[in-house]
Amino acid sequence: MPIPHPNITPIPNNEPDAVPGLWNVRYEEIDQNFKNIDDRTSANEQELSGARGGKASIGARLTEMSEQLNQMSPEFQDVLAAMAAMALDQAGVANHSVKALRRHIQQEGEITLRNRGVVAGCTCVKSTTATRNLNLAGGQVFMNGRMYRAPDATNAASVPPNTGSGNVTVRAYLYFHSGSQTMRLAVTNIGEELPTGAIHLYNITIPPNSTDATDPQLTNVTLTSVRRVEASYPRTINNPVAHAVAIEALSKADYRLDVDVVSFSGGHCSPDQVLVSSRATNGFTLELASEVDNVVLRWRVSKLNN
Amino acid sequence: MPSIYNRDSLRANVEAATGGKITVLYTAKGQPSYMHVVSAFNADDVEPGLAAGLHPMFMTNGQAKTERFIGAYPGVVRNGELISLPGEDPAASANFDTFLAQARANGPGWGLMTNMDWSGLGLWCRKNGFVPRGNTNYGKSSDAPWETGVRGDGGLPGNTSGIARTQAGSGPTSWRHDNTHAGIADLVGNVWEWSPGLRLVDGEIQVIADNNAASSTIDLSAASSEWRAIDGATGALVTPGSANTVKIASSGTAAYTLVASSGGAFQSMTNPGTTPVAEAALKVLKLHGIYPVGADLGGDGIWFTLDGERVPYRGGVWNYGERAGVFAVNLYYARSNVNASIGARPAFSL
Repeated sequence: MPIPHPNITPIPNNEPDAVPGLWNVRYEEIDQNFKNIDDRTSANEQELSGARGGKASIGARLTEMSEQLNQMSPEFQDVLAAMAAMALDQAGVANHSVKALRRHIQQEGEITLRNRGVVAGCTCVKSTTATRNLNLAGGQVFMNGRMYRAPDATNAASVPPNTGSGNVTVRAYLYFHSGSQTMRLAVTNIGEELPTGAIHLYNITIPPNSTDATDPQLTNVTLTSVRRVEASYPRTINNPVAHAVAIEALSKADYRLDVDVVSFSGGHCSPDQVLVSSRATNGFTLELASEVDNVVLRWRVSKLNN
Repeated sequence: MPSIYNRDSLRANVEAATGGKITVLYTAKGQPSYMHVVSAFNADDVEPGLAAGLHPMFMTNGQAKTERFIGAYPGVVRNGELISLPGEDPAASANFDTFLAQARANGPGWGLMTNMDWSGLGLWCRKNGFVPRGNTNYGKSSDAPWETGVRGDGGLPGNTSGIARTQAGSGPTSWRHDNTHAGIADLVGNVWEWSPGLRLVDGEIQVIADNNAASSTIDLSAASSEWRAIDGATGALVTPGSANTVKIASSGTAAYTLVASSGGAFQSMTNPGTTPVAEAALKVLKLHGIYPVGADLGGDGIWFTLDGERVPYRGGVWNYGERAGVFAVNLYYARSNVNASIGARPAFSL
């Protein structure tokens, strides 16, 4: 950077000597040059001081920088990369362990057991007095952990026609009729599922082209009983409701199995009324030794040494 | 698949302890109720010549029952349900309709122990040769004063102050209907028990057929069309207010009118009408427990009023002495009556 006045202006030689106005102009130019030099020198000193970075000299600072550069060498970066890879590996192992804990070593689930059936009677026959109807022979059933009466009923439910080209199956079931406080018979429509509060009695197979006109007495319709009969309900259960639960396969079947009774309908159900009737590495079967219904069970399998 | 035993330990223990005579039924809310299982019996077998076939206690809406479940203990109210539990202070101080609703809240098939139940059990006890005693003298038996129960009010036996109800089943086996620890407790004395299926309307005896009053859906209101009077000549159940129906009175000789002294012995009821109630009708009345089957019913009392509807309670109360008993019947008050001495007992059948 040049000083403001590299050449001091010559005094003109056509002026008389000792004219102050002529000399002062030169002095001012010289002062400005000095100030400029001072400012620049001060700036250089500040820059040098900053560059030392607290070190005693620029050389010390350069030495420090050199050492730092040496630390970013390819070898050092390799070390860093190796460390990062190892950390990721360890995280992967941890994730795998968590996954194994949740999917294998400790497994949980929830099931619902419907415990319903017939104590006595409740058989159906085809009506001979009404078109495509069923008669119900009365009896007793159980549901919601208690017994209900199902009175005799003639022409109690009608069987739907099948105008299609293949067999269809519908279901005969009992439901609770609140007005009479008893159970009544009904038949599902084609393609319809059993309602929630149903006791399934029969599967009804209807052949094609079975209508009021072609088969009014249900001659070609087949009733197949699926009644679950528990004649000694509630004391003895001959065909206990069972539920097979599949689990992620474990190394052996000696796992711990805990069952918690979450809720139920009826009188009394405790975990000791839920029996484990079989167990395998990939599942187990629970049986209900109780009269209650709508039993929600929470199960947990654990095998920490899997 | 092998059979498995229901591991309900409460029911199993109760049944094991009582030989199956008491079981535990669970209500709609899952509450246990201790119920004595009364096996069906024939009317002729408990009172020869009374009627052929099953005692109507076991006939409801034309359905024969092989058993009837009667609360082993007087009812208590828990969570809005009338249930039978041992050792509890019996429920009281509610009117007929309230107790009926609480019993029916237990679920389908539940109701109150009916008048027909009382009648049938009374005949069974008499035939069995043992008529139970109970809390008839402030916590002890008036007939056997050494027999006591635990008073719910903390009073001592015989202390005539306080509410002297005894805790259900706390008395001896002689306070149970069959003189065993598995019998129905506290039928006699302690608290009156509302007994649907019988009533007086302006002196006319009205009943509900068989044990239909046990149905959990039948209309037992004052205006119900189920009520029937009894034809004095034939015993047929007829429309109330019909001619020649059986009535009750305190005196006189009116046709088809039975005479008794309110507050007197039930067995002293007479049939003095100029046209007396025919034998066929008397049998119907006996089945409904409103005419004595003999002169051996002890001092069991009868009370009545001849105006308006009067709904019965049975068994007597803690201070009625000899007037309390399985044949005692009180037709003095309306269904709205509320008293600390009036309770009810749950019953069940399918």
